[in-house]
Amino acid sequence: MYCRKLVFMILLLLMASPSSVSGEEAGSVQLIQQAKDYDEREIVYSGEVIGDILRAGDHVWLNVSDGRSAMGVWVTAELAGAVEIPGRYSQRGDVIRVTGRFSRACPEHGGDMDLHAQSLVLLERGFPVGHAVPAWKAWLAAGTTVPALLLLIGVVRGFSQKRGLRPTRFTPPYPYGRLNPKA
Amino acid sequence: MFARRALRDGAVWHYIGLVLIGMGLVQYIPLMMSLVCREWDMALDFLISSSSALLVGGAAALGGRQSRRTKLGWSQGMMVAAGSWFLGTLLCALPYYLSGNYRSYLDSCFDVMSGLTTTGLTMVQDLDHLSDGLNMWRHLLTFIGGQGLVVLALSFLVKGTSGAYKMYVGEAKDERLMPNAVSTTRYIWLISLIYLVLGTLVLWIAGITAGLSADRAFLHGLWVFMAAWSTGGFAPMSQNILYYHSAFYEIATMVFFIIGSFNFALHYAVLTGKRRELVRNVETLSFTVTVTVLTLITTLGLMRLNVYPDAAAAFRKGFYQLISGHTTTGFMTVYARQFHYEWGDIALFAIISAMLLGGSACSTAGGFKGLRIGIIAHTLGRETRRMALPDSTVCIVKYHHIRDVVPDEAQIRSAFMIVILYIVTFAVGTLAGMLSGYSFGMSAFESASVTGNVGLSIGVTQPSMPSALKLTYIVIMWVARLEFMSVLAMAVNIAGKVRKNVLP
Repeated sequence: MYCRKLVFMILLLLMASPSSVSGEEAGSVQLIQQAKDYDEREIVYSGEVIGDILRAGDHVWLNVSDGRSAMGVWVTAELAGAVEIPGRYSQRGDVIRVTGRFSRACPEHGGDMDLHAQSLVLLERGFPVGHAVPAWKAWLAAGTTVPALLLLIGVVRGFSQKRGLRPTRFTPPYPYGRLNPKA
Repeated sequence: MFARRALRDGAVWHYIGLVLIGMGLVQYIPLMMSLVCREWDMALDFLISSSSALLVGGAAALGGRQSRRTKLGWSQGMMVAAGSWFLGTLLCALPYYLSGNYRSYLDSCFDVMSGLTTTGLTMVQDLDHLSDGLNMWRHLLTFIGGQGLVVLALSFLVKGTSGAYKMYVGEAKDERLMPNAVSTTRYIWLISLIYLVLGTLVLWIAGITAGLSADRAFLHGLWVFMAAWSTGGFAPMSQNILYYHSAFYEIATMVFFIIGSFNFALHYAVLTGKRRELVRNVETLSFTVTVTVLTLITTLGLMRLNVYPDAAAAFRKGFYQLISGHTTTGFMTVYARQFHYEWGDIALFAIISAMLLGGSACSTAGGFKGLRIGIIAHTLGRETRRMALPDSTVCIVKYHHIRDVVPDEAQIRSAFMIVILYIVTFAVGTLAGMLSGYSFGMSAFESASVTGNVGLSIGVTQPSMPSALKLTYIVIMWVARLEFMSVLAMAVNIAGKVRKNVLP
């Protein structure tokens, strides 16, 4: 599992690195910082699909992260059919490569910075990610929860005693007026 | 004398303890979320953190129990507020740190302070793969911070305390909606919870129309509403509101953060039938004027540089960031670096001004506050009139806030003093940014965001920024949210004790 994650991370880093790409290939940082240079040009952008596949009629919004920042990709539902697993806490998402027109301020989408994809290639299928539970955390949780709850009970009982809402066994017996003082 | 002081210190610890107990108990909500989502490691993190807060809070509450009926002075009330926020931040950062999503405990504390103060700047790494439990905690912190930690404790854990109002004021809220502070804080929570249900429903629908699945739309709706109402600015995804690519989502969030930035007294007035208050109140008037002027400046700045293809897009992007900054929310529909690379000085000037002006007093918002701007504007008007009129003419300042108010000189002085303190803090933050190697423009933008508890970023705030700057921003967020007095009262008290007990 760790090996797979390592390969995945290396893949993402390589995609984000400018030195590893040729011609029109660009990472999110380049696109944001040199938006005017790339505006309305065809570029190649790769990364992991994150969060959700947002369906909008016959098109789909994919948010694709190259490990540094995420970019909105507007793609037809047909092309997006290849994408199945978006990245979340419990899973790494599909890694894709899209080719399309980059807009610094897309006139079709209210000035959003986005990418209109013309082609989409699935580079790697997403996979579930396990989160191991360290034993020390379980012990620490048990070791702190028990005294904390006991202390909380102490605080609550302390207040109840003061307000006289709940008499405890430490309340001194009322000395007068009992029907049977010997009882 | 000494015994009385010891009793008062005991009372301070007692109430700080109660606030910490409240923060410990609240962590059972993200704990439940983690259990439902089968995030076992996160559940353990919350169990450890909650227990730590209960242990520290319980010990402090029990330790000072004997003094709890002692009448609190203003200084003690303020110390409860400032101390609760400080210790609350240290303890609430534990789940962040244990999750492994933060580089250091300082980064975790930064995010907690940012959440509690409803700033919204973040140090989290890999936000897009964050657990649902941790996302719930981030947004819950913002929601609680918006109403106030002390408000939370006063609402649910304290009964009939003589010093309640002083603690309440210590948290920078001073409106009396009800006859006493405890009823007032409960009413604040009632208003917030009613809007929570309504807002989550609307954003749930907005999320579904944006293409989210029903369950994800509900969670996102709940979290984004919490951040919007509290003028917080956190969002579950790294692209913030841009993630949804939805005009409906933008409009819905805008409505909620504008409402959230209004004074709770205004909410109370409107909910009890005084709807005309919306158009007469000095805060809504000053907000309308400043938003109109600054929107014009922003749009002009963006159009001048041809940042957007048409006026509609320039208005949509410009207005959203501006209103988000003005209400001190910090939601964004552009990338942080776009401010630096594309927006130009005129638009940035308008956004910086909006962030410093802020929302309403006694709301979840930060900044100078509309009430103070109203008082200062009226006072300046009076002084100008006085120059034109004969010496014998009596000029009075009058504004409308729930009722017609003629402020006395102390109120006017206080308004000027707090605004000056905000400007000094902004200058200190800007200087700290420049000393850390950032340009004046970037430093000023980020400092305005931190000082106004806004959360818009130009790209300075990130895990790699210098620790000294992180620490400076944490302190600024803290003092600005509590409007200086509580932290100053605590600092003076601690300095006095050090001088008396440590120095020869």
